[in-house]
Amino acid sequence: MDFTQTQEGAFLVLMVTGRMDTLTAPQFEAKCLACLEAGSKRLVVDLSSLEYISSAGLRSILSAAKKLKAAGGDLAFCALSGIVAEVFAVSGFNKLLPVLPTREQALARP
Amino acid sequence: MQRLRLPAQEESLAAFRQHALDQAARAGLDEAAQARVELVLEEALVNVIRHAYADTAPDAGRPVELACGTDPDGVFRMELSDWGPPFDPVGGAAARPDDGSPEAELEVELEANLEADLDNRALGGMGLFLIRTMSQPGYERKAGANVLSLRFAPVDED
Repeated sequence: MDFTQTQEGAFLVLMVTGRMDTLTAPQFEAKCLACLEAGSKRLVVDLSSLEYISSAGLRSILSAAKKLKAAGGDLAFCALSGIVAEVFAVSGFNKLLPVLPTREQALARP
Repeated sequence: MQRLRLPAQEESLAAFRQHALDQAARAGLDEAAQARVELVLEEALVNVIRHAYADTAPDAGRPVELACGTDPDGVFRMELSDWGPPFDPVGGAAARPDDGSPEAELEVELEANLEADLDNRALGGMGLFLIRTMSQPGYERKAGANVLSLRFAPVDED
């Protein structure tokens, strides 16, 4: 799993590439916490290049979202497709977290 | 059925994944169905790797076997076997919600968790939920083995 980060106004956009499985998932939470420590509380995660996610990925996302919220920030997602969109839908993550169709919509939130 | 037997450890995940994807492609499953096969396999394997041999001596071999094939009705099926103590990972689905059994209580918690908000949502339990959502699982104790059968009937896309 690889990350590319860009600052977009009030948001830090994280582009995630690769697979979020049992072996790689902890890297996601670690990356979010490193961003938080560096002063970014509002993260938008672009998942258009994420090929795969399992429950280990959901766990890592949920844990990161709780910690960002506790710090007064938030964790939003955009551009999901394929199995990633399917897993977010059935697990209720679409209702639990801000999940937007496009990056523009994720960045247009108040 | 095509079988692969390896030690129950994380290092075996990649080989099992490739075996399942090869067999699923050979059976003619489309990309979306192959992704469900991959996901359900990871969830089921991780359960075995973490729990099946927790009370077994480290030198006991700890095998896990994956068999893949197509049932007579044309449905792709995986069968995952371990030789740990009897454990039915999908028994909760059959338990009645009000019968007071541990499986039923777990079931109620899982359902409640899906509706919980960010502050109250628990971290665990999603693996089994995904197995049950993305496949039709069944469990049997056969000849000293836990055998988890995972069928992938075609999904109606709407």
